[in-house]
Amino acid sequence: MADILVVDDDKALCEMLIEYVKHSGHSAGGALTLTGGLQQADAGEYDIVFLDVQMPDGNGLDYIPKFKATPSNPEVIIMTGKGDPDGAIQAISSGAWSYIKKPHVIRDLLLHLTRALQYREEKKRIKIVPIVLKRDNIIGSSPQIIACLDQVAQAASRDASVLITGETGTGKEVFAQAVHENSNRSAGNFVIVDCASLPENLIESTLFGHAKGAFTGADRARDGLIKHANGGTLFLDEVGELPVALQKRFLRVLQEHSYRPVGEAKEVKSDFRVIAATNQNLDECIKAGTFRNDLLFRLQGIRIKLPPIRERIKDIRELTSFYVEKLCNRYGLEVKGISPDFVGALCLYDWPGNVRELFQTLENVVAYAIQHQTLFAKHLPEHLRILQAQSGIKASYPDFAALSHVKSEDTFPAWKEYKDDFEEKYIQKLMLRADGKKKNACQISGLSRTRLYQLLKKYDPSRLG
Amino acid sequence: MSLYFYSEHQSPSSQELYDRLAQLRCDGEKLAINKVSSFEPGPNLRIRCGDIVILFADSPGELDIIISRREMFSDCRVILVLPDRDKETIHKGHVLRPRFVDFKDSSQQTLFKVIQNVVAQDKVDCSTEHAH
Repeated sequence: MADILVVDDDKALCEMLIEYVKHSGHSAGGALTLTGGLQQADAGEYDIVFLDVQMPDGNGLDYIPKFKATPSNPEVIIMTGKGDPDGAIQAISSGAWSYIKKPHVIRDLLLHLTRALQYREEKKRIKIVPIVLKRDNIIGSSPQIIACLDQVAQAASRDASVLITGETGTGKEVFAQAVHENSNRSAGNFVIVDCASLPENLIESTLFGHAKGAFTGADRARDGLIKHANGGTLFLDEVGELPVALQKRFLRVLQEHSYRPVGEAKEVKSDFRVIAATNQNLDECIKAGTFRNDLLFRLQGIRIKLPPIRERIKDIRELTSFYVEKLCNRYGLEVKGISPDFVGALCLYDWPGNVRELFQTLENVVAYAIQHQTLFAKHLPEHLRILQAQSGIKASYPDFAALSHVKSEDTFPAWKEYKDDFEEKYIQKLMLRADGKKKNACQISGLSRTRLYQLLKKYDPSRLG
Repeated sequence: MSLYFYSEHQSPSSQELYDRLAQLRCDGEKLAINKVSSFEPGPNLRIRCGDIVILFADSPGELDIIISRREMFSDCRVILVLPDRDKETIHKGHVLRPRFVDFKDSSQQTLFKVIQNVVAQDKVDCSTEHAH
C-alpha cells in the first residue's frame, strides 16, 4: 500500500482521484493549492504526488523540485488540461516521473501509478554500498546534493566524459574536482581551461601548444594544456564559450585521442578525461548555431545538473557554518557562533548568485562583525534584514483556500472582503514587528505616514493615541 | 572584486612583471594591483572569494611556499607564473587550480591578454588599492 497525494484546484476531480486511488488499495490525501500540497508533503511520507499545472497560487511545473525536496522524495506525476511539448520538457527536466493529460487521467492514472510504485519498491531493495567519497568542499546533506554526489561517485568510477550544468555559483568546478579526486586519474593533473577568459585567438595554442615561431610572439615552443592533462583530467569551464571553429578540432581530439600542436607537423597522443561545465543552455546554443551538436553528444557521457541554492535551502545552515569557520581561521579569529535568526534570514533570500554569493555575503558579515563573538541577523546586509522583516508579515498571509469567511469552494470571496481581511492582519503584524513605533512601521513597510495613519484608524484605532 | 599580485621575495623578475601589469588599464583607469608578500592568516588578510590572484613563483622553493598557503586563496581565481617548465613543477602548479599558467621565462604577452580579459570580464575594482 502506498501513500498518494493529489494536488489539484478542481475540488471535484481531486476528490474523485482520491477515491479512485483508495479504491485501488492505497491511502490518499488531497490539496487544492500548491502551498497546501507542499505543507502536506513536508509533513507526510508520500510516495507519489499527482500535481496539476494550472493552480491558483502558481504553476505546478515550477513546484516539482520543491515536492521532490520533501523528506520522502516522492515521484511526481504531472496532470494537465493543456498538454504541450515545452511543458512536458520542463516537467521531465525538473524530475517529474511522467506527464499525463487530464481527459485521460482516470484511464492512464493506474498505469503510471503502478510503474512509479514499482520503481520505488525496486529502488528501496537496491543495496546501497557506502562509498567513502572525497568531497572536501562540497557541503550539504539535502537530498539534491546527495543525488549529485551519487552521480559524482558514478562518474568517478568510469572514464566517460562528464558535463556539469547549473547556474552561476553552484559549484561546478568543485564538483569537477571531486570527480577527478575520486577517480583513478587523481594522481594526474586536474587542468583547468577557462574558455571564457582565454582570448579567442590564443585558445588554440593554449590548448594544443605550439612550435617556436608558429606565430608572432611564439618565441619558444610551448606544451598545451591537453599535454598537461595527459593521464589526468581536462576541465573545460564555460565550454559554451569555445569558438565554433575550435569545437570541431577539439571534437576530433576526443575521437582520436591525438592532436597536432600549432605549427607542428607531427601528431601527439594524449590520454585525458574531459569534464566540461556551463551555465548556458547548450541545446539553445545548438539552435543558435554557436555550439556543435556532435560535440555536446561527446561531452555528455554523464550529465550532472547542480541545483541552485534556493532548491536546497536545508543546506544553508551547513554552508554557513563551514564558511564562517573557514573565514575565522583565515583571519586568525576565534570561531564565531551563529544565531538561529541569522540562518533564518539567510534562508529567506533567493541567492541568484548561489553559493558564491552566500560566501561573499558571509565574508562581508564576518569583516563587519569582527569584534563580535556571535553573528546575528542584525549583522546582515539591509536587503536581507528587510526580507526577514517582511516574511514575518507574509507568514500570516491568509491561505486563499482557508479564508474563514469562505463557506464553500462555490463561494468566491469578493475582492474588498478579501483585501480588508488581509490589510487588517498586515497592520497587526506590522505594528508588532515595529514595536508599536509608527516611524519604524513606515520604514519596514514603505508606507507613508499618512497612509499608515489611515490604516490604523480603520483597523486599530487604539494605536493612534 | 580585487586584483592581487603575490610574490614571496619581490625578485627582479616579479618586479618587472608587476611594473608591466601596472600599465594595464581597466575602464580607462589605471589598474589597482594589491601587492602581497604573505598569505599568513590574520585580520589584515583582505582577500575575498572571487578575487583575482596572480601568483609569481620565482623558484621551486617559492612555489612550495605558495602551495603550503593555498587554503588562503582557494576560492579566488588564480593566475600562476611558474619558475620553470619541468614536469614536476607543472604538476605542482596545477595543484593550485590556476585559471591560466605561464612561465617566468616567457614573453608574458599571452599572460597580459588573459589578465586583461579576466579584469574586463569580472569588473575588477579599479579604485581600491591597499598594500599588505
